[in-house]
Amino acid sequence: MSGRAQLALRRLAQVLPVLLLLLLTVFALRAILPGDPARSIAGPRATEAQVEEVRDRLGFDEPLPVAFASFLEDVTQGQLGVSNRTHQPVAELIVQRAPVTLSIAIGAVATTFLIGIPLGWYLALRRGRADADAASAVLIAVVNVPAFWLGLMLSILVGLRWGVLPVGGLEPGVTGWIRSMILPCLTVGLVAAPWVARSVATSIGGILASDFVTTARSLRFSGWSLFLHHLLRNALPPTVTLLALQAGSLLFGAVVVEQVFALPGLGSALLEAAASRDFAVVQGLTLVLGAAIILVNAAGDVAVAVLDPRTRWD
Amino acid sequence: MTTGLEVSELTVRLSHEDGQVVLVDGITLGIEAGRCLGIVGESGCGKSLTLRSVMGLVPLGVERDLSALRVAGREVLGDGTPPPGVAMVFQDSATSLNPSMRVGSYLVRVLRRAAGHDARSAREAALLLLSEVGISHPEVHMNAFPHQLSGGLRQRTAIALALATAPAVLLCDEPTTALDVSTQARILRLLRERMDARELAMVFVSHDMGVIRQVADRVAVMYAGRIVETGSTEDVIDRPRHHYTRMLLESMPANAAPGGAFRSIPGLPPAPAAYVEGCRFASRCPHHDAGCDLPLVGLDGLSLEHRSDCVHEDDTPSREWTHARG
Repeated sequence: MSGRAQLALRRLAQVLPVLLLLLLTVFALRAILPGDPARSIAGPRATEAQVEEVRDRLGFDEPLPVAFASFLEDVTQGQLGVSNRTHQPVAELIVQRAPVTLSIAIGAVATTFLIGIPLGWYLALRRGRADADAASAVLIAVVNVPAFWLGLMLSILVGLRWGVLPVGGLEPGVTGWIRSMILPCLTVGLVAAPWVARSVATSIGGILASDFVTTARSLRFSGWSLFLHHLLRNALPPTVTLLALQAGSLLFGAVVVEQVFALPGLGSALLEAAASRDFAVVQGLTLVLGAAIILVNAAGDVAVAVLDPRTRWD
Repeated sequence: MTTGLEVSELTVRLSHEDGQVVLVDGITLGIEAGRCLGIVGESGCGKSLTLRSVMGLVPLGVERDLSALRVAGREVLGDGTPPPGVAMVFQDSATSLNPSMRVGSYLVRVLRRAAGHDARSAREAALLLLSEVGISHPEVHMNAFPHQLSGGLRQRTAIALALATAPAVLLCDEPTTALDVSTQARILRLLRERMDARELAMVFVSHDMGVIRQVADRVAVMYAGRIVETGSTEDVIDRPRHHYTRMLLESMPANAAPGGAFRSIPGLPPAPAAYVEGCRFASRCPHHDAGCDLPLVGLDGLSLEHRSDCVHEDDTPSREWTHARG
């Protein structure tokens, strides 16, 4: 097995305890969430005996270790329970709602990439000049714009006033899907881009001033070959790490933005479920979103290890 | 003997909001092919900046100005990019090599760019270069990343990279400072060897008189952006004429009396903004008198002739009792 494959496997093995911790936390939600899940499942007008029956049926009375063991068993079989409200299996709901959230996440990452990275390079290369300083100041202001506000502004301006794109909801067809995703993706991406730009600017600035770039210049590397082999090669690992770390906030951004644009994604499902004490759905969604963030971070680590020889263990 | 490198009237300035500060004050130096000029001085005297300026690698906000830059007799004063025929070895090999490039592919790239090799001949030339700098298993070494190598091996690699551009002039910016003493001695020996074999003109910057004595044929002592004394290594170290040089030599640990206290030069060098036209060492000099404050013309590091900028020498050739520079 090559060093890289070995490293990837080892990193994935590290994921397991974190996943277990996530499972424990999600399981503990039952105790943490306000309200009695058995009561909310049985309905407001159920008698005490009926509530007791629900509690019994769902195993809420079992000792915690036993309950956790059966929870683990269910999860490994893809059983995430059934919605209290709609009686739809949670796994099915997730499969149904995931495409919207995935589309937003991918679009947002692309937006962040396409805006944040070139902007970061620009800031680093023109550091100390008036235009870059002004851009930096603007970025500090933009960083603090909340996603929901930006979403509303885009929705009002582009959706209502110009009528170019849908204000909310999903339009039918592939084109409709894409049109419906543009504003949400822009919203999440634009909020994350300044962070990425500033961070990229810092790492590029460090590389530009580094001894090894001076050496490369002394060895007559310039222009494209200096950029490709000496700057970009060394700028990629921190950028990839940054993007992986952004995964969490991008998902959080998706939760907010689905609400603003009335899109049927995982985020809106989570909010609906939380509002109606739909316990199994909250549990299932938290688990899936948490696992997604853990896996994206692990993938980021593996990518960095492949890109940066110093982090390899061989 | 043919001239290797000639640098005329190099001035380096730092521009900031309130104006300009002169960091290197119109120095002239040169060295023949096959010889080594040592530049010695305290931190901040401008010795490294002098090398970087010759190489065209000044930091942001710093500008250089020189009237001539010749390599092997040819004028190469260009647009401020590294002049042809000049290569440089840097101080810290831990940071001066690209961390994500294998030694071999770096060397091959340099060879292909600088000497127009094709892929195969570049690889052969790289192996040859690595054995030339004393690396015993060049094939293995080619596959290594810098972080997998010891400090000595890294610096040998850096020297091989510099030699890959087939230079006539090799500038060394304290290349042994980050190494332990025995590795330091081996690297110095290697540099002398390569200098002799390739007829290189070498400029070697160091704050360490001991290192300069081992490697240099000629010495220029720098203080506060100027050359204050110059001459053959033997003359300068054994018969220093400038009070600064004398005190610098006295502060070497090797020159301290056994059991006695180490001697050091009291005070700090002046900040560049406070550079005066008279002797800049006067404020720290125990022999300071009124004559020290009169303007000086400055020395050049061109000839073997032993000269000093100190007014307490009757035969100081550079002393001019005029206000020509004022």
